[in-house]
Amino acid sequence: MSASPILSAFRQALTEAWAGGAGALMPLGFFAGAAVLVPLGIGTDPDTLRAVGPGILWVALALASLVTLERIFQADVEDGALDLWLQTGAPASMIAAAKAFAHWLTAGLPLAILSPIFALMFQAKADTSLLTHMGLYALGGLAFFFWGGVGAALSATVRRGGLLISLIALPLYVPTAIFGALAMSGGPGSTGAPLFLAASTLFALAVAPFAMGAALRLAAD
Amino acid sequence: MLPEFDKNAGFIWASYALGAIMIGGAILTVMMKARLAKAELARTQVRAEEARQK
Amino acid sequence: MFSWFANPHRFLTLSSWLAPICYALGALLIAWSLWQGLWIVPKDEYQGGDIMRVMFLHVPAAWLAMASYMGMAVMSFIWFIWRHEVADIAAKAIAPLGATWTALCLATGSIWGKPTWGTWWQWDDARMMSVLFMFFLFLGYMALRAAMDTRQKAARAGAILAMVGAINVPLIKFSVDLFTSLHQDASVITVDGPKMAAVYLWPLLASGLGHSLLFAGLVMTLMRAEIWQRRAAQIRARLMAGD
Repeated sequence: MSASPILSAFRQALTEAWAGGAGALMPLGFFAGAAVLVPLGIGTDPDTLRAVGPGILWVALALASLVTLERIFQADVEDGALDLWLQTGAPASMIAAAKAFAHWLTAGLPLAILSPIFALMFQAKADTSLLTHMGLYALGGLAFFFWGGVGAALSATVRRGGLLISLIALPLYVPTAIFGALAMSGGPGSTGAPLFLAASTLFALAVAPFAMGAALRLAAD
Repeated sequence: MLPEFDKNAGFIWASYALGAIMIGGAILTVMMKARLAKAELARTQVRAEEARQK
Repeated sequence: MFSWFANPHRFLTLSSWLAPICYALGALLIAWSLWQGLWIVPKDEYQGGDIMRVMFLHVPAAWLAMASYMGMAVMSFIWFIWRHEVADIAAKAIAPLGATWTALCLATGSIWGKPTWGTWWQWDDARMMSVLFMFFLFLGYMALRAAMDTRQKAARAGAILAMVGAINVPLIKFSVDLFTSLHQDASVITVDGPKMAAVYLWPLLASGLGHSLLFAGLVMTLMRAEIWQRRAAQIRARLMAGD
């Protein structure tokens, strides 16, 4: 019985992303915008672009996740859906995790899947490393959405909480951004970094739901 | 009598001046806050006392 | 044990004599460390000459940046588990003061860095990066509390964030260390470690303890202010209800 609010939260988050016009396309547009503007800003030298490309994509991914997060819990607080889910006795942490996961599926995963195209625009070599990088972006994006979800849940009752979410999420994004960029740097330390990235994402998956759950119970009061 | 430092004297004095300003500012703000809060509480207590006597 | 301190009235009595003691001892220790640091101890040519005298302000600030965040997180935890109001008042009071000392640590580090590294900001220095993120954690905590509409909500949201931040600090520190260890060049100064001569050690310890005592006194005074404010608000609410 207690599984159904979790499923309904998950399903609602998925439909939310596609309803109301291009919710899921917004981060994609943000991501593409960043990827196109950077060469215009820093110049078109292929070696420079190849060097900064993976890092730019990490930054764009982190910022793109912030763009969607402002609304992920606010709507549920406002329309009372959150109260209904919590009344069923379902664990708030699981509901929150389901929503964060659904938003990663609709907004984070597509960016990771499209990352090879942007990498090619940054003059990356077309080989299997693009696929590995795709996996790393997906993994890191999951951590972004879960930590960002903590900021979103904490500021769910705050009108115009976007700045607050960014401020809260920024320090929490640091390990993922560092491990992710290191893993792609090809320099020393790039062999261990994917493992650290996976470990820090697991850490986010283990810790963030409880923080989100506690914050949602607070928002529902 | 101020001590004489080598070529980096400006940086040293700048650090300590900044420290004095920031810490001094923190002390002043905290003291002011405490004083205002205490005065406000005293005023409120007087008002409550007057209200009870009425 | 926590419950004994949790009584606001008992805290007011305790802090009414403890805070002045902290101020007096702290001022004495800081004055002694400054006199030693600026006038007495010889300059260390290995550390770039006189510039190492910034240490007697920078190192206590760095220590307080770490210690105050941990203190805030512990107070948040105590409040979250036992709901002792005084713990929340303490966490709330620590935040702006901790942010002040953290900013001071960043500023003095930057001023120290200019003549030593030739740059105001060194991304390769793990300590600067960690302290910067610490500063952001403080800012986020204060902004979140300020955005909540009731005291109870501010306390709960703040406690959750402080605890999430605290368990992330080791991970942030590890990632930043890894990042910088791969970029590091040879110009990094070594303030700490066994290389430090004993002449610097005592003034440094005195400054660390002195700043900590001053900080503790300020936290107590700020907590007293908060308790008085809450009492006044309570009385006002009762007056309104009575009318």
